[in-house]
Amino acid sequence: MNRRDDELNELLRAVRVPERAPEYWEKFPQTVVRQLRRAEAGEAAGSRGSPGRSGGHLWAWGLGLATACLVLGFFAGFRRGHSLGFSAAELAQSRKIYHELAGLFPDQLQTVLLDGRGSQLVLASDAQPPASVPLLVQICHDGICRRFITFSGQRVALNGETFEILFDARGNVLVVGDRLAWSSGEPRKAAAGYRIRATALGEAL
Amino acid sequence: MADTDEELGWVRDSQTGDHAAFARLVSRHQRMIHALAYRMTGSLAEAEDLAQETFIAAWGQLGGFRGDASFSSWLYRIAANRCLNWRSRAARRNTVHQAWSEQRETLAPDGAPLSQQVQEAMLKLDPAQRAAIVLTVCDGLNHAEAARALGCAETTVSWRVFMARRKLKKLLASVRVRGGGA
Repeated sequence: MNRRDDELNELLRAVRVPERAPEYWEKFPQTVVRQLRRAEAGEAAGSRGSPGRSGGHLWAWGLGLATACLVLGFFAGFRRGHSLGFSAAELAQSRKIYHELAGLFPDQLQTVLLDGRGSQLVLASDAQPPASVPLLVQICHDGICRRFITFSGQRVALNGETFEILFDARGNVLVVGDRLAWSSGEPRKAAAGYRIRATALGEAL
Repeated sequence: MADTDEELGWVRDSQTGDHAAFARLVSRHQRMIHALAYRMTGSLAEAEDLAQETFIAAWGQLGGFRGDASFSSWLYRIAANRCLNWRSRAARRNTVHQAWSEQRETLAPDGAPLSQQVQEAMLKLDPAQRAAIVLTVCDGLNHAEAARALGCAETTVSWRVFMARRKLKKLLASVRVRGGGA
């Protein structure tokens, strides 16, 4: 209580915002525009999204997609899973981790990042049923790999790029980023130097 | 900040659905929005997500922008509210704090420890109090402007700033400004 306001102001202004590379600032506007275009392309009516309306459509689209995944995912996922590219040991280990964490945080688990040092969790603030069966996804690029247990509709990141994970009615896991759209139904179609493996964990849960 | 004719032209074009014009607006204001989001979250990754959410929300609301306030103020208001909503997702806190502790090692060494201590103290504030401090002290808004951005009364902002200062003084009691300047 002995610090003068001016000195406190000076301290607060000393907080530095880490500088990003010039390329980041060059790409960011295009990243935003790509997301807008993707959202507009997804509008069922096909009407061109104009400002003032597209925001509502974007959320409605997302909500509809999540609902569809919730309904279809549970039915399709349990019946049909892809163990694409993962060994039995990897799947068993992932299921074990999922069971333990889901027991600790029932209906709150959104994403588990698995790395060599342990697990990092993203939890929902309120319990809510997941939008799909749990999905195991591994994304590799430039020699760096990240493995996640997550659900349809969640977003994960690698090397600063964000990917949306989706689970379709056929039991395929989709990974959608700015530079690629990958499906476990067509796993050989890798793009932009990415290597991806993904499968539904629900089958044997 | 007054809008330039050039910027108003980009806003008008964006309102008709011109993505290229909107990209120019994003380019002009992206640093301001990223900085606000970083100060509110302490995380580069979360700041990036919030900045994207802000601009996408702005695109969706452009039809309601009538130029009563400057475009930057209007955009800033959207970002400030996004940051507050983000913070209400309390469950992300642990992850973000973990990311922060890892990220601190990559910050510029010059001045990093002081910056880290202050940022950590900021993250311990109630989100509404933190927003009040960020807007008024870090971004230089007066209390009336901050109240408009946050959608609350000016007296509420003043009270939040007061409470935040009191807490920060305790949290930063052992920290000294080096050389009298940042």
